[in-house]
Amino acid sequence: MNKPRQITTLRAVAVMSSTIIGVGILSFPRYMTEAGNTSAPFVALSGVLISFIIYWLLVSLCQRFPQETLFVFSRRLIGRPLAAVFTLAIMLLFIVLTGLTVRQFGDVATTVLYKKTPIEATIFLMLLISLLSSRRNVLKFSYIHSFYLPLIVGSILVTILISLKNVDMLNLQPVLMAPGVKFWNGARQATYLFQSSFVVVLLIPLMEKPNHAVRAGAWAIFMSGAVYVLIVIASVGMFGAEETKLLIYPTLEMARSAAFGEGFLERLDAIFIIIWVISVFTTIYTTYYISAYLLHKLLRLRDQRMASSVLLPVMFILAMLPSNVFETYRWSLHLGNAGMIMMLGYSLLLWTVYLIRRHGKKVPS
Amino acid sequence: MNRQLPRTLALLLMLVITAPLLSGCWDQVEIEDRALVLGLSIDKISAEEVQMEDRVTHIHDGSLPAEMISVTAQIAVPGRVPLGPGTGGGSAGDSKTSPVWVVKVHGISLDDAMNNLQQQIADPRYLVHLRIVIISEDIARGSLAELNDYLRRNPEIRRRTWLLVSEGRASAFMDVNPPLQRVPTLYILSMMEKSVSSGKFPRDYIGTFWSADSKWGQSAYLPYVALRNRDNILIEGLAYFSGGKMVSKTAPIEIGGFMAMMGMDPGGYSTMLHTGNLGIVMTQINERFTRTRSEIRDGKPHLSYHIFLEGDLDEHYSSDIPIDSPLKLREIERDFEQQIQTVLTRLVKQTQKDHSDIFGMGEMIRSHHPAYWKEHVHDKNDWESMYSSVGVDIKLTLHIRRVGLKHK
Amino acid sequence: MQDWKDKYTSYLHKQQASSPQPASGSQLTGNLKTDIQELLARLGENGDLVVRDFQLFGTHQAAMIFFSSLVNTEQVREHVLKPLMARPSEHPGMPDQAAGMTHYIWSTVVQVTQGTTTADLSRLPPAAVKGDLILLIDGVPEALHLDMRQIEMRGVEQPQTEQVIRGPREGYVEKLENNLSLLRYRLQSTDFRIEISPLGTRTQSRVALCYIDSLADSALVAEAMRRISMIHTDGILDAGYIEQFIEDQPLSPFPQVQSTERPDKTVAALLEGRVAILVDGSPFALIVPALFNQFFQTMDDYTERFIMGSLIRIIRLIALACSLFFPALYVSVISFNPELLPTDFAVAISGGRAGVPFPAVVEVLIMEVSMEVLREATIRLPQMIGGALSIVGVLVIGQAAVGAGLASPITVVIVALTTIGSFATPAYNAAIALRMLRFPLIILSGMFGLYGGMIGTILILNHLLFLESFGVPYMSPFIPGKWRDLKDTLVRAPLWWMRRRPSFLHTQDSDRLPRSVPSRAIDQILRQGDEKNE
Repeated sequence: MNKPRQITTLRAVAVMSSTIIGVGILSFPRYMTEAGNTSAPFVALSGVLISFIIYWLLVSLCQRFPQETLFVFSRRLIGRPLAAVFTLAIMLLFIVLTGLTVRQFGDVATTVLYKKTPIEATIFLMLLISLLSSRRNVLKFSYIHSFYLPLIVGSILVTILISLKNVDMLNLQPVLMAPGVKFWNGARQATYLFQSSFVVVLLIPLMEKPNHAVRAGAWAIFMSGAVYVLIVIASVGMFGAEETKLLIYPTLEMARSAAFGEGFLERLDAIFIIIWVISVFTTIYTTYYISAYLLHKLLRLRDQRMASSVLLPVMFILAMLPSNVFETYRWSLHLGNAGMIMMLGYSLLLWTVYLIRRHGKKVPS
Repeated sequence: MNRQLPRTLALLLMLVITAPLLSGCWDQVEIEDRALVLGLSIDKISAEEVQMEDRVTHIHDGSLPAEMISVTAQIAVPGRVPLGPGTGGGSAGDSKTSPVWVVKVHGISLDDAMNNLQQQIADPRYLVHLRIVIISEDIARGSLAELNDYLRRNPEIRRRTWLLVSEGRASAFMDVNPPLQRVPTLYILSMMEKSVSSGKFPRDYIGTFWSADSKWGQSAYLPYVALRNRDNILIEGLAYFSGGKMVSKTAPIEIGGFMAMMGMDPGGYSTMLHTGNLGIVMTQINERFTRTRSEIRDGKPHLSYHIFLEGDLDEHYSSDIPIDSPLKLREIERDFEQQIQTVLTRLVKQTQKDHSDIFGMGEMIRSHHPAYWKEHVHDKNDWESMYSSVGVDIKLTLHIRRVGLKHK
Repeated sequence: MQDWKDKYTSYLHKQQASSPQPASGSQLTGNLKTDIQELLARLGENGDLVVRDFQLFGTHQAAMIFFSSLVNTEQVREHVLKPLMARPSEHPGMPDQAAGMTHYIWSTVVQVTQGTTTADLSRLPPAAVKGDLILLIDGVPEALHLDMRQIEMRGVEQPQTEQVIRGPREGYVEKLENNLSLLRYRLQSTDFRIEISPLGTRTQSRVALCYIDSLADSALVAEAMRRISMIHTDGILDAGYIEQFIEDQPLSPFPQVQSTERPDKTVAALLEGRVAILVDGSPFALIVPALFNQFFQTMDDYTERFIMGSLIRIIRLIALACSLFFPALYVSVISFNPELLPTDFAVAISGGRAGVPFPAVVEVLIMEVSMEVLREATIRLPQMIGGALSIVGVLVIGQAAVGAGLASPITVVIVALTTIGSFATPAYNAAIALRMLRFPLIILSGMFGLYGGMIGTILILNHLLFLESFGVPYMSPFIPGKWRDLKDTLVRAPLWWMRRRPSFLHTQDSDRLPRSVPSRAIDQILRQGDEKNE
């Protein structure tokens, strides 16, 4: 009754998109506006393009090994010890990423929603539900994402559509400014949000059509990218570039200002916060899942349950490490940088080895 | 059994960890135990007037500003506002059953005052339902930076709160007793919301004010209100700002003019004008549309506004000569265009004199002539001083479509 | 009778062997043994199929084949078997050759109103499932089939738990034969298989497994058999016992096996490719796999026209969501996030709650629990007293609680809405699951407000997504979903548009309607008209 390859391309798209749309959505317009003022949408757009290139680099290689995950075939390419080192590095990256993401979530929740609830409780709960859900197999993992994605994207789009009423086109002009260092820095920062599209590596061996992985990634990155760009457009268009820079969570302010007429459904932020909790959950779930999966493979544990339970305290402590909001943001920027360098470096290394090996093989045959 | 033991242990550990969560309910405050602040009014008082500050947030006044503010808060009293459609009602005048509780405190800053307020009332105060903030003209003419910072920083404040500037003391507004609504603040709120939907006033929430305040090429404005007959509230004009401080205000009809310049719909103002041949007539504007063009002329920004209005004939004051032909309507339109044009030009001149670009002409220049903007404007002050020398053309076109039920 | 383990292994063998289908239209040979074998091969394995061989008039070998659930065995004995087994001396006019035997029997022996003879073997199985008794005589290449059909309808009543406005009014009764005949009567297909075996070492209750051989996924049938064969208990008193032994996740609050009192519902499920399990002594049939989707569907959705069916289904879903989330939402808004209410309403609510001494969580919990108690109390009472009690309960809980300052009027409204909402869920066991789940949600909301409620909801949803019923994901066809399966979920597409069976059941024959012809009569008429015009 169970076929081995059950993850359709659409579901792979869903996994990646719902992972990408996450905690960053609240402050994203601020970063983009700081980098590009009124041309913030273009900063975001170039960020999307760059992230797709990074994604393509890695995944087009993975596609050549449709039966295995990256962690398996890398052993054959660069040897067991080196591959283990890289796998370890990726795992650490995702562990820290989970910790910081959940911390950012906790910060927002404490600032905006629950002032007295200790951030530890908020964070712990979030990690706990990720833990409980990450004990299942990859197939179930993909079910969860494809269930929540329509909810997330749908309600964000509704919020944006309602906000579009208040958008002043003047705020978005001039549309393009000469791209400078700041512009590209902003674009680079935008790519950090898309790093978790790495999750496709886990999916490829289970995909119905593994050779559609790049296509799925393109869909996912451009769809979630479109959501991000729309959010930037809506908040810059609504507040103006200068005001957007002042706000710590422009998207939240946008949702809080949006309203369907007077009196009726006056406060959309409730819906927005609900959806936001879900979207954060899907993001943390993915990074948590990747970390647990890698730990389980690295230590050759019997099953993933153990790995995921072990990770909970680690991530919790990591989340508690930054001492204030600004530090959290600085750390996550550093992490983003590290992640980008590593992904790029690792995929380039693998490509080189792959090409050399293939070349070497072809000659005798 | 052996395999079950670790699992049971893990489960127990889990329970031990999660148990403290159950003691939670950290933020649980029942709605009736919250002091929901519905409205605030802020007045300025000099230091001599009040010697005693409650010292809730600080001990020494030495290094702190000498100027103090007086804050009056309107707090909803649970149980006094009956549920559902008015049963009995009518007891609004009685102070004993007043649905709101008006508390007055002093403080150096708004935050300080709010802390003093908290010291005086039992229930924790919440600003989540703060809908109206009224500041007196004195405050508005001083710096609003502190006020803005507190309100912006506080996550309880929404950008859809109204910020009003009052003529005279702002605290008087907290004591009004309108017959239409049980809660005075909600009355002011519904008044503002309705004036927006009927085209009497632009949608100018505190968020709009902040956005305009942040933009380099635009100056902020706020509604200017006054009390009449103790209980009636009048929208008296726009209080406009320059450099973050209120500089002056407009006449009520100029709000209509301003909205026409900005092309804001729906039209809500009627204009009484003296026409050449037909005597005095009144027209009601229903729709506004504005086309704006900007250019750099001789190194100076130049803007031209073309305003299209659609309206009805409201009243013909002395109806000796019937208005019964397109020609006569055309005549009214022409006279209207001329007269309103002078009104608008005067408004623009006045704001230029005050360096307050409430029309956002700078934004227009910034978005359409970015090179020029980059060269000449480096902060908000640059534009506000440049604004007085901007050339502005205004052209009006009125179409009177209907004349009501009377034929002649 | 075989026990379930043997049935399971033989089923697996049969699936592997994939017996070649006999060529249709083959004639009867006249050899009794081969004819019976051929006929049985066509009719397949069936628990209620009776093959009775006997000596016809003491001289000829003969056999009767019929479905015990479709014919009245009493009448068979009285009017067919008894005269046929008479001694030859009572039949002096009996033909010597076997050839004239069928005619002789038909015209002089059996006292049956309808019947025919046929030499065509392929016509016999359909006749049998219609309720005919087939008489084969050794040496005669002709069969006599006699209409003995009588559906046992004794005690059949309208189902108590699943009433419909429009649709059949028959429900199962306790006797297995009765229930099987209700099924056979609705599903006169030769592919319809009923496997019967006893279960329970002491009770030896007969358990019937029903499926349509050419539709149901053989893996599903095998799995069902395997699970039943693994039950080792001494007593099966009701279908509910079996449910608890074979379900996937006993710890889940959600039912993974559907139980129904309605034969029409069972047949509909069988036609989708599901498997039904009936137990002697229980008026309920179990249907597997059961999915979340099924619990807010009723027979009315299908018998009524599709627009009405869809609308009502959507309303039911809203009610379901209400019964689960409303109280939790209320608690979190009142105690944690009052900023989400419009200002006027917030002021008014705080007025309504002014005198209530408890926090909203406690208040809602008290009210909800007393509502549950009231509901539970009225279920077991005779209907007349139950009605009276519910009035008293509503009065007490509603009016007096508010008057005494125990609860605010809005809480009463919320609790009432919740309760009514949970009554609108057609499947009783699913409604209970949702009703019980709202308590943890209320408590979580009381601890963490909207966030807590959200965490609870995510946990519930994740659980639903992880759950499986007999290998089919519980949330299908939503997740994992196919577009065409969504036609029968939130809305109910018109019957003529649902051309395929649900794909998640992996049926052997996926088409419900033939692809070649337009499914609506009116389209076919129009097309014929066009052809004529041309």
